[in-house]
Amino acid sequence: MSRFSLFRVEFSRLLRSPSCWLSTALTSLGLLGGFSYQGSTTMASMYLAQQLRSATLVGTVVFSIFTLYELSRVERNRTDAITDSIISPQRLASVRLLGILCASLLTTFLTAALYLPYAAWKLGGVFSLSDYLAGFLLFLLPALCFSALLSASCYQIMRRADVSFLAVLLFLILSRSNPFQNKFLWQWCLPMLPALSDDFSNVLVFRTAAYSRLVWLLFFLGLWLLSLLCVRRYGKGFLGSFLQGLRQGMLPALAVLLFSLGGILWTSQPFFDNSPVDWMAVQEIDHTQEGLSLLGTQVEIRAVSDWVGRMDGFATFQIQNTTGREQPLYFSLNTGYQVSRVIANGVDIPFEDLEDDLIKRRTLRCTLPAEERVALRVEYGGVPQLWNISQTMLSGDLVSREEVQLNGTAFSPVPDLLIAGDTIPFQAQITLRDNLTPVASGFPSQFLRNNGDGTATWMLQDRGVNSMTVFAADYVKVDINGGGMAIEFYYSQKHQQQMTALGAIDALEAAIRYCTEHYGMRAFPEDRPFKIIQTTEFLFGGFAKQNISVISEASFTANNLSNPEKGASGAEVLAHEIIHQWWGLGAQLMDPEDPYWTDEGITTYTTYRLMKKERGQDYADQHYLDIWERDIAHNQNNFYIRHPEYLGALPEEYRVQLESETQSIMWYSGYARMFARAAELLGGDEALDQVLSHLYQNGGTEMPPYITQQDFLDASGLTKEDLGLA
Amino acid sequence: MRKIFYYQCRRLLCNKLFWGLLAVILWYSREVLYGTVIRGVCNTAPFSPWSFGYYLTFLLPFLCAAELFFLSFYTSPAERRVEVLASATPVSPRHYSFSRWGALAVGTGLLTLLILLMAGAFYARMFRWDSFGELLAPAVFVLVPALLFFLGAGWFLGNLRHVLLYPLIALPFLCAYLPLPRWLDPVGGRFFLTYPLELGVLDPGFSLPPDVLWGRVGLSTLGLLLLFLTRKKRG
Repeated sequence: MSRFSLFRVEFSRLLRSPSCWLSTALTSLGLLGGFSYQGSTTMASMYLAQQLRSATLVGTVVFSIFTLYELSRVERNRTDAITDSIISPQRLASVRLLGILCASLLTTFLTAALYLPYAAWKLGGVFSLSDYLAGFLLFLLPALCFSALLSASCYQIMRRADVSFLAVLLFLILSRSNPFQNKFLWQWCLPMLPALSDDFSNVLVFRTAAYSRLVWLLFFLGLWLLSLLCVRRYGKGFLGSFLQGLRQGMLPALAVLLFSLGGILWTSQPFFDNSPVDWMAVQEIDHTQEGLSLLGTQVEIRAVSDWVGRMDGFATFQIQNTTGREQPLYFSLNTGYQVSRVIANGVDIPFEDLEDDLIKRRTLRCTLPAEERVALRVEYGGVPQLWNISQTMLSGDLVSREEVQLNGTAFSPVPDLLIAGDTIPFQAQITLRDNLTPVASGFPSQFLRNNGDGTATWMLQDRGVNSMTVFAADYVKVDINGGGMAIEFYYSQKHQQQMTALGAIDALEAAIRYCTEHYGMRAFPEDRPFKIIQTTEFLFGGFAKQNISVISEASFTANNLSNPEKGASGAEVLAHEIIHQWWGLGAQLMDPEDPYWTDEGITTYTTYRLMKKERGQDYADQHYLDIWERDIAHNQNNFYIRHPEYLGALPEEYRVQLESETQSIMWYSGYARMFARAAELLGGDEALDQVLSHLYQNGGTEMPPYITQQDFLDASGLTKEDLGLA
Repeated sequence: MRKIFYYQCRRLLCNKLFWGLLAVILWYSREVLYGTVIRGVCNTAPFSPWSFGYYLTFLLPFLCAAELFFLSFYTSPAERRVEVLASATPVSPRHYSFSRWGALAVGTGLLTLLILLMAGAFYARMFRWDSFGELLAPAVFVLVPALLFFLGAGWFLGNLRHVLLYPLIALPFLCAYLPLPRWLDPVGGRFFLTYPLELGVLDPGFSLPPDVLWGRVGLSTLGLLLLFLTRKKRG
């Protein structure tokens, strides 16, 4: 019988076998497990990501049992002597596996088809057929195939179905247990799927999943080919059959080739940088020096996504060198980019990559000529990388068809130079797909031209800066009432109906009104308005920078906005990021003697006050004061905090984690509680508001314009002892 | 009798499965110790009875799986066929049975001992801590009832139908994901993560609430009862 005829017979047999249909049914039922988890925010996470996760895990286990059941059938029934005399056992093993792989394909399509109407109905306007299919084809289908491949390999090596199943189960547990669960390449069964966005791009989830699938496909195929050599033949045992199999030089050579290719892909993954584990201990060196200053920046980039999300461009820096000598110049760039040329005043100059990856950026060095005015052009391009710590979140810069997000060094190289004044120009021309509207820090974006090839070019401008943050998506802009300030709110077109219905704009206005009334106006010039930008779920919260406050789409979902019980983890992120425009950008808290004295404490406290005003004392106490107390107590009770003599026993990774947890708790909860205590000691919230308003309006005096801890103590008349800071 | 016992031990221990399980258990216990236990649970020291008990709950499913795999040697259809021959030999059935149970106890006991030794070496090396007597109570609390229960349940189900042993092997692994009340959980991982905090003091001594204590007693009794019932049925 030819291989094809054998396959036809085997697959027809599988289609008639109850075990095949039982496996299909159980895998499809695995979707239901996704409904038991309540923690998701976006609709796509709630009705697609969770179901995919659950079905993938269930399907992996089910298909392992199914494969082992089918492969051991001949041995179980003791008919192997008969079949081996008719057909080569190796050929039979490959045909059986092919039949099971086809069954997994059938299972995937049936499961996807069954769930499609419900998913489309629940997701409504945000349903994306391409994301839906990509989810099933990249998560469920490979998981079933890998499970079959791995189970078949184990069975061919060990010839024990129970032990093979245990091995598969162990490998699954291993990939999802502590040392490996945060590493995306280790997830052979279920790649990282932290969430799915409703309004923005999910391409990073699919890109990392596809890459991980490719790596594991090579490994599993290699393993299966090796295991094929162990298929028992001529009445021989494991070793005899293996040695017999080795005579077929092609199979082992192909297996080695597949393993090597997988290894190469594993080590050269393009998504995450190589930041050190103890990133907090890295001392960043300030390379700025007197006599070298930045007079202006022009950038031209093209971020029109191909399938890997590449961007290319160049930046020209106008630099003044008054030292009269050649000077080293350092600039930072995203770790995913390569610099192709550095040209100073029209002449190519050498440059060096210092390969000092730290939080998705690294430093390059070149030598500036001794001339007083230097036009330095840096040509660069690549796929922006993410910080390796964010492998579970897939959060960061991105170029895709539906969304572009480029922040700081992912937008253009950032030279380590003094900025010569607040008026130096920063101009950028960005070419994007014509369905995207860019929103950048600085002045409003200007449309320049439609290039006629599905792309459009925009002009972005700012002044007094050396970097820029750009978000591009299918944005809609609304002007909102900000007590006399120009405020622009940008959100995805897909969210247009929900945005007003859920009262998101009211929530934004309430935060702005509160800050204006209590601390004073936040002065934004007409040409550089305050921009609030809705962005992807993968941001997990938000941030504020220059004149923009960026807030994740999770804060605008029905689930968050209509559920006040979610407290500070829900819609109030909105308020927090707005308040940062006052505390953090309008006025800054910093103290060289206390690393925990930052804007986060006062911003968290102000969010608490806003919620106290909007939702009452009980709500605010329950969701803020009680949580601060709990977090602080938890941190203080930590064994290693109480017994620092044992800290040396902790591996570096956990020491950094503990330090980072302590820092985060002190930033947010520690100092927020201190402000609450200050209000009590001063005799009420209004008295503290007066102190804060004074500091906001006038800035600090000890280290102007920053407000230090001493400035606060002086303004309030309290002491460190009063506030428990001594 | 001694010869049969040695033979049974050799059968269980000089086996790829035993060495495979041993390697996995050693590797996993190291990962749990250096990855999880080192941070301590519920703000207690990594060498507190609570952290140690939590460590054991990670390894317990593997120990139970090993125990059930050893048991599967005695309940397999092939073994049943051999039993007919064995019963025709002049060896006392009671002695034969004791030798098999003894070998199973040696296999499981060796793996348990290695797990305990790994923890002991970890505490001594990392924290210069050697008050191992304090760890006896959590070790008994975690290991004895669960191993007894799975032995009894495995013997009972394996005698009903050999294949029923396999879902039972998965059960201790699944317990971590099932919403079981703490008195019913044969593994008890969640108990170690929550109960010390409920006590409301820092570094609490090891103690058990009555429901959990009775749950463990019940689990042990059930295991023994199933063993006894099966023995009677086979007899």
